[in-house]
Amino acid sequence: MTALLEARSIVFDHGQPPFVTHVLRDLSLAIHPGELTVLMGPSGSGKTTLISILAGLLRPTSGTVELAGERLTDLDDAAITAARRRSLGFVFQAFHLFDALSAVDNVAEILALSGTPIREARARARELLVRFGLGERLAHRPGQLSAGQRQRVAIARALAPGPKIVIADEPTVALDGSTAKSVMKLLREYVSGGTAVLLVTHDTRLVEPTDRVVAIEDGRIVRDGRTAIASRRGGEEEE
Amino acid sequence: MHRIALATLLHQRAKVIAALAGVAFATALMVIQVGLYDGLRARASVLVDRIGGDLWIMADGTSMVDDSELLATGSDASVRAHPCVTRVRPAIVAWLPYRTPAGARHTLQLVGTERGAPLVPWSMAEGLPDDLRGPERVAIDEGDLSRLGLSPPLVGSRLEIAETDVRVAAVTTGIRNVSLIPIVFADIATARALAGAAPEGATYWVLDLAHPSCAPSIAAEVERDPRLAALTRAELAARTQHHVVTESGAGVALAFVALLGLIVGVVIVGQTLFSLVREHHKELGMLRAVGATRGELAAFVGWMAAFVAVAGGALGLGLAYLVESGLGGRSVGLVYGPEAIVGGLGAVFVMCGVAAAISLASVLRLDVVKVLQ
Repeated sequence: MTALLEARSIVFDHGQPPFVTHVLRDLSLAIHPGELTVLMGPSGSGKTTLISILAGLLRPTSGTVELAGERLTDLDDAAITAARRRSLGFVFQAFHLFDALSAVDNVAEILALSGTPIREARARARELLVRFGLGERLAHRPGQLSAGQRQRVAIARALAPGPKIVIADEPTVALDGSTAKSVMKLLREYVSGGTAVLLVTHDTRLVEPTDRVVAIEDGRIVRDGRTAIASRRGGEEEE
Repeated sequence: MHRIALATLLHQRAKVIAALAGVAFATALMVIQVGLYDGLRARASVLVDRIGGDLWIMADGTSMVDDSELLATGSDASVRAHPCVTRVRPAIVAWLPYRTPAGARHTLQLVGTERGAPLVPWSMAEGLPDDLRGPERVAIDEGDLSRLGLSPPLVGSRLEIAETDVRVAAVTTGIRNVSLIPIVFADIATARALAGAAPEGATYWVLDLAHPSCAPSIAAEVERDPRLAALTRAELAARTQHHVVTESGAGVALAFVALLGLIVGVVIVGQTLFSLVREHHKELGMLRAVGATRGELAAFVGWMAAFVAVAGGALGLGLAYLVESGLGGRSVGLVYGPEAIVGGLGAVFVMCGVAAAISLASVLRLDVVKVLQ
């Protein structure tokens, strides 16, 4: 299967000689459509640097990154931005919603940025938020929503433009157990529609509903394996 | 992006009010300063503009219209025969002593012209310019009553000018010179007598020309007499304005106050936009991460600055007009011409432009990886 996002031999060094820190060391990773991958690792292991490079927000010292067939490492800033807009969605730990905008507008404005007329964008945003169980909170501002509701708005915002891959950076860290589970359920549903999700976390409870776990330590991948659920699904598909 | 920017701005009411107040006050200050500057210039050259004519003959070295001296008898002879000269009018502009009814001695400015168009004096409150016909009749301005020591009824009051007893025959309103010294109008014959000029004397000869293009050749002819100079009306008006603005220091003072207003405006708007941008670094970083271009992030600042500029500028213009109507406008020398409006709008543009540039730099240098960590 062709990878949606593929990093090959990524090296990322920080600082100037002789004070160079080797953040990522010859790291390769491929994310495929319909795959919910969890990227785990302790603080300082290079997770954030890796997702920044995968998203084209940072350029690696060496190595290549391909996003939906486009080699980001060969593109200029404007082309990388365009590629991100076409293919990437982001979910952040701290939500990063605009306090001044309603839940609908927080989602709709991202669609509008991609050229969707605002009426249409609001209609799509409403539809998505209703599916996420926020039908009663459409006009509420982030300050009037619970942490779990805000994260659902943030996920709707990431998914609204129909990205090929969503990078979710610690999306459940501010949520209680049951809310975290419902967020994971939402992501799971979208993966089944063909979107790939790369979930960065150090919460081991989130491993269970994912397809694959990639563990990173000291800038290297130390484990990359399919989870039980993925194995079960694989088995069902074979039957 | 404009919806995000404007919603973000309007969400922070206290900051918006501060920014709008800053822009409004700075704009009003700029409009008022330019208005005062224009008013000062207009007041400086009002005599030249009102008396009119195409070419003015005066004593060589005259620095402004108020700085005049009596010309030698016959100094108009050479131009009277010139085929391009259609009319030669004498004018007297002189500083003369006067004594109030209470006995105090001061100085006034006497202006004497021939009867007929253009109408001098103008802006009559009581009587008509024709009422000055006859000896020892003058028109005073109602704004000078206390300085002249007069009280109503004015027409028929008596005043001593240059040790001559004169009668107030008419009253003007709102006529001021730059020095705020009382200005008194008289028929040319009365003015000559009061100024001690010969029966055919003048401090200026004002020429009407068949074609304004004749002016340089006539001026050259006049200036063959080294005691004389000739300037077009526009040149004399500009020279007078320049002299008043530079010599009095008023221009520098007005410009300084306007500059201070501008700086205060830049600081307030800059601080507001900058803090709004700083507070939303993470949201802007999020937008960048999901594919917003640097131009779109710049538009976030641009829209906020544009809103503050338009709303604050409109408030500022309104405030400036309120001040004008409250103070009585022209009577205090406040003239809102195109320069004042352009000055005010220019101030808004500079203020919001500089303020936005500071925040734009912060947005364009946004390190997405850092702000999202």
